Amino acid sequence: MRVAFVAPFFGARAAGGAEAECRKTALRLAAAGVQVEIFTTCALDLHHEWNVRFHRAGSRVEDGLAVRRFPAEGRELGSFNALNARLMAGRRLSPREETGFMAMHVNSLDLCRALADARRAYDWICFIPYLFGTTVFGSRVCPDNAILIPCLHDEGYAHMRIVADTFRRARRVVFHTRAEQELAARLYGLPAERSLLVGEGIDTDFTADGDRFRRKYGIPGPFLFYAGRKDETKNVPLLLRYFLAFRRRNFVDLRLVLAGPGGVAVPRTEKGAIVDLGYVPEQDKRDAHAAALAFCQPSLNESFSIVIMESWLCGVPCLVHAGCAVTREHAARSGGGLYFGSFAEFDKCVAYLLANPGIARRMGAAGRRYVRANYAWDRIVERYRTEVFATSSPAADPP
Amino acid sequence: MFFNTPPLALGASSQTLRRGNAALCGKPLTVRALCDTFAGVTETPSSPDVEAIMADIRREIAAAGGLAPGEPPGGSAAEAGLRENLAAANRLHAVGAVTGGGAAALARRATHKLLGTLIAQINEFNARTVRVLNEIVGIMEGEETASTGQVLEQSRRRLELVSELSRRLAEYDALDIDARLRRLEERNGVRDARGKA
Repeated sequence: MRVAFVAPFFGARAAGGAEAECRKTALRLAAAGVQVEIFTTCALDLHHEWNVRFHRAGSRVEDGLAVRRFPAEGRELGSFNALNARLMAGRRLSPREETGFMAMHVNSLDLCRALADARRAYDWICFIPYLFGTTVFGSRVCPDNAILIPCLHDEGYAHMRIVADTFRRARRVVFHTRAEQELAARLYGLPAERSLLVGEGIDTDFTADGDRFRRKYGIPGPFLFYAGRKDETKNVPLLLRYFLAFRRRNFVDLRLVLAGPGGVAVPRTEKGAIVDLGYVPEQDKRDAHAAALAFCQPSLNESFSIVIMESWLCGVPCLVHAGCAVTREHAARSGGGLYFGSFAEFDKCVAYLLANPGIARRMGAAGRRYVRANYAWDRIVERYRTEVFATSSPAADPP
Repeated sequence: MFFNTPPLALGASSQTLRRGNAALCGKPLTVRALCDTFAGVTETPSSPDVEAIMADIRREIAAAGGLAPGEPPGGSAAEAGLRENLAAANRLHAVGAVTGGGAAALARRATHKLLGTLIAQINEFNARTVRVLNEIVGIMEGEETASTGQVLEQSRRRLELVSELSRRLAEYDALDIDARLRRLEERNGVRDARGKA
């Protein structure tokens, strides 16, 4: 079995959920005996200008994987930002504008040419995630064996016609959750036989020590924990507002501990109640999970949310936003957490977790069982081998 | 089904307080003490029914005059419209300053100069209106605002006093009757230091 992964960015230093998923999945499949190659650009990640060649173009072996890098096209920042702003505001673009936007959104003509030349050498070619030129144009040059791993959530970009067309052309589409699968069915009318619910692999073998975290950071008492980007797109300002209102209404000694990039404006009088740790080492993040009353994920735009899984693996329940179908589905299916759609619900949910520690622990344990049963790497690799790559595509040359 | 605890209508601290009399007799009334009290509860391996818990929570909110039980947790379409309008009002309330150059900008600057006082008044009126709207929506959502903050602070002080009283009563209840009498007499000067009446 020979498989290629196509991603806009690749490497240990490429920040982003889809990038991490691509790398880990490729490494695990390779370890399981699948021949895996990577097609990607020379760009570092979404946050650095894409036509700057952070990596050298060409083929080499990275972490034991064969990686082929191609220079990304430049973009005209003014028109790109104008189109992007319209999409983010939920407005439609004309077909010409959509093509123009996608041609500037991490695209590489050299990569597309190389794919066209090599497409018959692979049984399957996996494109991840949906919103990049490498996926939209790359999947068009190998329609017979293109598998899309979209990492989809309901946002302005998902409603573009060019995106709908990409979903409809792919031979198979791999989803992380039922909610994501249902969204694609609703938006693009994707037939069931091309739609596969696989999930995302999670590292389940790690240890976490809540007491170690408390000793190191000097944080006593119960606290809610959030880890991730601290900005509007993750709905963190809402979490801060709700948390402060909860504290003032309920008079309990509860803190909010934040970890991750970005800044938040904390009122001077509330510095003791909200602790912003910034970047923390991976082990400290796990220890913080273990020490927390609950992990709170207020984001509305999640296609999987690895951080919730990490919290559950530490035996801690989660509190998610009801407006995010994916995280709400995780919480409801696993029994591992509660969800809020308003301040009143946030208030009652936190009070409930504080007053019912026995049930909170059972929620954490239920979440842990859910992760191990569905998203442990051996399960995911098995699903890829037996379901996603079940039969050879008509495009591949016989061995 | 999991809501066999007292109603949460007054929030966690009042609940803690009520439990304090029964379960935490003599212990400081803190969240940690509450958690310790439940630490020995036997756990079953079954997963909690999250939907049932959420249904109970929503029923309780509805009973307190919040969301209706059948209402989707994301809020109704009317609520979404309200939020959208409020966001637009927050964004658009100020009449923008003139930037850039050229004849058009020059003309706009001249207009602004002529109508400066009027624009300032309009901006002031808009800002105050939007501030009031934000406060009203905040109150609707149960959030604290500048005015409700004072009331909540008073309630907090009252609860602290009741909490202290409850702690002292619990201490007093724990003493046997002889010790109570002795303490009362000592306080009233009936008994001297050697214990003689």
